[in-house]
Amino acid sequence: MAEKTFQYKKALEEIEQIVQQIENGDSDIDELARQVKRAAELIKQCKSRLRDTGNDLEKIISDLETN
Amino acid sequence: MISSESAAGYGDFMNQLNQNEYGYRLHVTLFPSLMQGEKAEKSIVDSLLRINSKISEFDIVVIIRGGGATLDLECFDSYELGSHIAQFPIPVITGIGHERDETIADMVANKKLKTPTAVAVFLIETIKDFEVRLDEYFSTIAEVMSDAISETTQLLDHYSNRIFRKGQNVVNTSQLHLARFTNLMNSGWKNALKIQDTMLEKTKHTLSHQPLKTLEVQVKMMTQLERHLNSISPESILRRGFSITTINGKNVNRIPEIPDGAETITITQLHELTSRVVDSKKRKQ
Repeated sequence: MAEKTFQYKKALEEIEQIVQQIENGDSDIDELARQVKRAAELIKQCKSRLRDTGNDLEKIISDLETN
Repeated sequence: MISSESAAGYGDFMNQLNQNEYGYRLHVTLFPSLMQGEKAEKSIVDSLLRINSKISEFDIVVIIRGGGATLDLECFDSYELGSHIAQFPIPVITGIGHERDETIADMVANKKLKTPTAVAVFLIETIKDFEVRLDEYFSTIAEVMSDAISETTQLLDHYSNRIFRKGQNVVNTSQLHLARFTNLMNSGWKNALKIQDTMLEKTKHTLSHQPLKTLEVQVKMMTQLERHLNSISPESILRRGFSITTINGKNVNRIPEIPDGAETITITQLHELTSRVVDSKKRKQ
């Protein structure tokens, strides 16, 4: 699954790169749309990863505190 | 007893002796002898010799004669008898029973008394004195012993008290030491555990909070990124009234010179406009 190869740090770097490109106005219009779409997708994946991580942490911490 | 069995003095003596008020029992062995006449001297000396032959059985010799004429006393004035009496190994007491001057036998005897009864009284009184003295000695010994025992007992009590107190002190001190060591040991491992516990709690706290903080930072950052992306996205630009103009699909901002008559495509929020350039000149920036 894509989840396995997904790397938060790399995704974050890519998002920042896209944002920079958009800010610089380097991209043409087709590319721009594609880039925004890509960034939005990456952000969604990152948020999902953060949510999962949060859930995992909550579980681990509650286990830790009941001991 | 050297006497004549039939003599009145002998009977008096024995009565006096046996009926004494203290209940003393004296063992009397009679050596019957002639107490007057020519043969008396030899008879009395013979009796002394016979006594001497078993001297260990006797304590004292009593020579008794009851009354009689002065002349009858001649036998007691003999050298032979006097010599034996004087050298006899145990005391010789005379009770010859006369009122005149004493005879030789009286003079060399250990003790002379006037009558046989007086001899008996003397013996009883002597024994009595001896008994009193024994009692006194016994009392003295008992007193001394009792004093010594009580003194020793006191000393022993004193020592035993000291030993007990000393022992008690040693035990008490040891108990205090042990208690202190026990406390030290107890508080020692308790402290060590406490320290470890505190450290673990700290670590636990860090573990519980730090990752969430990190996560929060990331979530915030991601939210900002998203908002930022939205704000710079073409849709947002167009919505705000800006437009994008391209010539041959290329952003006009990237084209240095635009010739008159060039066909441009302008995208707004609602329309896509195709236009021709009427005039083009550089903006002063």
